[in-house]
Amino acid sequence: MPVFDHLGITVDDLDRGRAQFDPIMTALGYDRSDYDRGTSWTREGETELLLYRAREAGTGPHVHGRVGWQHLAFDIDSRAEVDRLHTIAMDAGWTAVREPKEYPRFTERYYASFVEDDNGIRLEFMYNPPRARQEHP
Amino acid sequence: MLIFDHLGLSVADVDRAREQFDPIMRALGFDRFDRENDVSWSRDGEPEFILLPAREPDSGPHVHGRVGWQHLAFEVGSRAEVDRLHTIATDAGWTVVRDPKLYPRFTDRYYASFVEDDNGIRIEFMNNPPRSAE
Repeated sequence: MPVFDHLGITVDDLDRGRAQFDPIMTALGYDRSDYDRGTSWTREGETELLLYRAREAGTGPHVHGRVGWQHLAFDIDSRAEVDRLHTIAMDAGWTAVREPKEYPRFTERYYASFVEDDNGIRLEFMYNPPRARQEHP
Repeated sequence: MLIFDHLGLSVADVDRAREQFDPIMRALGFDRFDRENDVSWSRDGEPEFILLPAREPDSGPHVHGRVGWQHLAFEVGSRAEVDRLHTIATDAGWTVVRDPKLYPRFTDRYYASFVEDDNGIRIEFMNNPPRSAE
């Protein structure tokens, strides 16, 4: 059981938040549960993600670089899956911050894309496999 | 391999945030890594947690209920650990939102406390054991 049990995000429009997050979370193998106050996505052995309706209307979007949410990165199994998740996000109305590309300043194997939803919540889809072992040293 | 790889927060003052977060993260078994501009904590099998300097330092504190960060909950393993983490946080200058107590509206075993740092970042310490553990 992870120490990171659940993580909540406040959104302006819960229905819109559900519509934008659900295709991504479903593609990551999560199951969705809707409540009056919000929505939750769970998957065995993984941190739960929750969306809550904002208490006041019009407080968003959050602006990247201001105090608070910076970004959440999902570890994806392959470059092709990074590309697929990025396309799923685009199709759900997310804004591309960075198209999928290599990030050699992180590691020589790091491949990622960055997207933001209508609330300015930034997500990263990333693939950073362990350094391959030398098979015949 | 975990799907949640890392989670980042923008804070007004990285040094102050390091002071407030480090006692908590260390108590949770995470190791700290200081870099030039930011700080991160990691533990095998857990997401990495990163604090970065806000580009607009005067943009905080974040107000709970407004769009953005809502809260992050740590499962700490027992009620005694909830109490211990809560004390560690308040000793590090965190503001109490809710002192440790039972939350029967979640489950009949749910015990938690809520605190906020200087940036208005809300954290929950919780213990919600499987029913079979009762």
